[in-house]
Amino acid sequence: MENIEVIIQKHQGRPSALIPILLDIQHECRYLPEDALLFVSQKLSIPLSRIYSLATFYNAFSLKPRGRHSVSVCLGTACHVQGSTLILEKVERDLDVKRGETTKDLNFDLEEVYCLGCCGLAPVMTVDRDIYGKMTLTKVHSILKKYTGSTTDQTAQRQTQEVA
Amino acid sequence: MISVEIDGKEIQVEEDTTILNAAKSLDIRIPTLCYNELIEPYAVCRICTVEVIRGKRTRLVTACNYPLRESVKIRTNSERVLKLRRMNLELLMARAPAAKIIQEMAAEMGIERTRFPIDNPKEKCILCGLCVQMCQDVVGAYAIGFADRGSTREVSTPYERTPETCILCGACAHVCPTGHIRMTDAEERIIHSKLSLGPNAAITIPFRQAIPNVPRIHAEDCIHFKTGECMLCSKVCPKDCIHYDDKDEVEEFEIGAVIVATGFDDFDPTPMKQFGYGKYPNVLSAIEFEQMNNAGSPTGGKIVMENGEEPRSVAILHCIGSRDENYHKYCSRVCCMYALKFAHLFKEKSNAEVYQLYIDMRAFGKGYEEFYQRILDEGVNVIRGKGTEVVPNRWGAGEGDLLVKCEDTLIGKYREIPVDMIVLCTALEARSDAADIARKLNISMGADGWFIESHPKLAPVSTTTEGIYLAGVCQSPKDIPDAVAQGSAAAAQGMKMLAQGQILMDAAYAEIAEEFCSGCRICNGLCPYNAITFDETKKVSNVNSAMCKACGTCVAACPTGAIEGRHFTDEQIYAQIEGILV
Repeated sequence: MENIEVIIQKHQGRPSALIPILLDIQHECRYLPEDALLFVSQKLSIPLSRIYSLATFYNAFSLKPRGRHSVSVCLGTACHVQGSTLILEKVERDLDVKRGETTKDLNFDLEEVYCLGCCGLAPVMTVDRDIYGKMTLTKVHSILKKYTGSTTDQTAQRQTQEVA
Repeated sequence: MISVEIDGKEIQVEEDTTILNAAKSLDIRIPTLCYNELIEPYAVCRICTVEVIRGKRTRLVTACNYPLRESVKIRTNSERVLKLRRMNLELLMARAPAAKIIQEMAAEMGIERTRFPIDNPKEKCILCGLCVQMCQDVVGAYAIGFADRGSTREVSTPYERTPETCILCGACAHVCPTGHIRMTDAEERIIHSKLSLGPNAAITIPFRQAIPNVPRIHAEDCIHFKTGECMLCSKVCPKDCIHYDDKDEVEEFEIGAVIVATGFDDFDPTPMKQFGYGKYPNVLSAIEFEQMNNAGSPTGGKIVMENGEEPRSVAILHCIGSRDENYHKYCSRVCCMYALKFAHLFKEKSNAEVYQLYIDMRAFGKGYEEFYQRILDEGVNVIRGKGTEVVPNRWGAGEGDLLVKCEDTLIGKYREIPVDMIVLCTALEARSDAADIARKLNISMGADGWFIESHPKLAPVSTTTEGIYLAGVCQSPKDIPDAVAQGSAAAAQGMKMLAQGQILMDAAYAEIAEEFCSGCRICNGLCPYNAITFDETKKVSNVNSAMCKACGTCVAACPTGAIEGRHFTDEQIYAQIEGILV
């Protein structure tokens, strides 16, 4: 809650800064906890129903804890032709989740996306902001492994820098 | 003012009038779904689409929120409009297939079924947002809102729980055009104990025969008194009768006579655990059964159990709380007859088997015994023996989920009767605040809490205080004819006194000899009738002879012997004693 107080302070507690505040909370907690929304609602005097509407409307917000890394597999036309469905299924098997879900250890989110704008690299998969083109089934395991465990947590480091 | 032409008819309207309102004043009907005159139009259902013709150009617009600003022609049922409306309805039918109003509209337009795939055949919500606007803008509660986006958008409360901000006003359910939002009773006893079903309106006529028969606002439920918003009732009232700043006022009246008709309390059978009242939903008190029978009740006067089914058999238990050493020793006098009436109602309105369990059948009034005979002829099972216990029927045998245990004293056998519903004929009790009333009016109250009349035979409506009369059950349990008779008598007594303009006093009362009074004021506190006051200037006590009942308490207590009872002076009493001795 103290962190959230800091975040609200950062935006001078202005009700008009609701979305930036929620984005920061999402960044900090990797989701929007119910307590946090209640707290924001009280602090900014914005009805909870309105915040809930916003939080469910934007894709950037999640009410459930998201994984540390978000894996997206492209199913756009070019990738689809190159067999990206098989890649997605392989990732699903490796992480033991279905698309749109988060792994039990909260390390990975898995999403399907439709075109990442680099069809020349099809099939494409991204982990956080890293792009992996010309994917094959054999590459999947080693790529995911890079993001498992704390030692290779580059993105997390980058995120902390950004917040700071 | 601008002139517009709607479907060939000319009309002059104020600038910024919406097409819908202009059409309404021409009696042209434009169908609407998401329009509500109390809420800013949101124009989301698109059903009210019409064609606006400006010169050679035509446009399709929504009538509910299109403000007229120039002279245009409008067509509400051109082929283009109708085609669009049909398509719209088909889409809405796919979206909310269970919504009756959409089906009716579609049928009116000649659409049998939608060509679009149906996701959820039970869906009724068309996402018109009336409820959300109502809750946020009018009520100001902000309890509901839209959640999610696109095809999964829905009306929801935060985290799909009842939010703290919801004041259960039911406004959302009221404006919902498709009946998607409904009010349910939070407590599950829907039919019986909680007879106020659905939204508990904050403005109601208190009860059907209320005098004056006008609605009143319950401030604790009214949205306006909570959020300062709403004020819908004043907006719709054509005569400006709604005043939010009215306050309760205390008024004082000068009166010459008081008729006490404070009635009774209904005995609460909850402490009598053996009957399972409050535990089994189909065990009702007499007044609950009476309310259910009323045509204005939630069941519409039908006799049904909690699950909505008709009972197969019922038992009516007499003397619950009356003629009972542990509760009230007296007979409540009215129960036998209303129990027989209940039996008659059961026979008339349902096919249930009816059992009466009584101690003694007291059918004492005019025509009462005949009524009892009639009930017997109707085939009611009348069992002499008080019901002792109600338990669930675990064996499932017979026609009922409950078992009533009793001793049938006429055949000398113990019986267990399976029934679905039980009506407890609860005792009449003195009102819980009877003692307060007695103290205020200076009248006496018996051990049972009933007020005492000044003479049981010769003055049955008078009290010990002159000018105060008793009427109805506050004096003792009695039925309606008796209460009416006593009420009339009390009124006549009061009128008689008022017409005379003076009180006929008893010749016996206490007198204070001022020259002997020491001003000790002992008598002031002793007088049970508050007849003695203290005269501050003369420093002596005075007896108000109109209020004095000649009880003699002050006479005995006066340390200086200044008070004397008229006609009961010491000399007179001694003379009487001597007279006896002679």
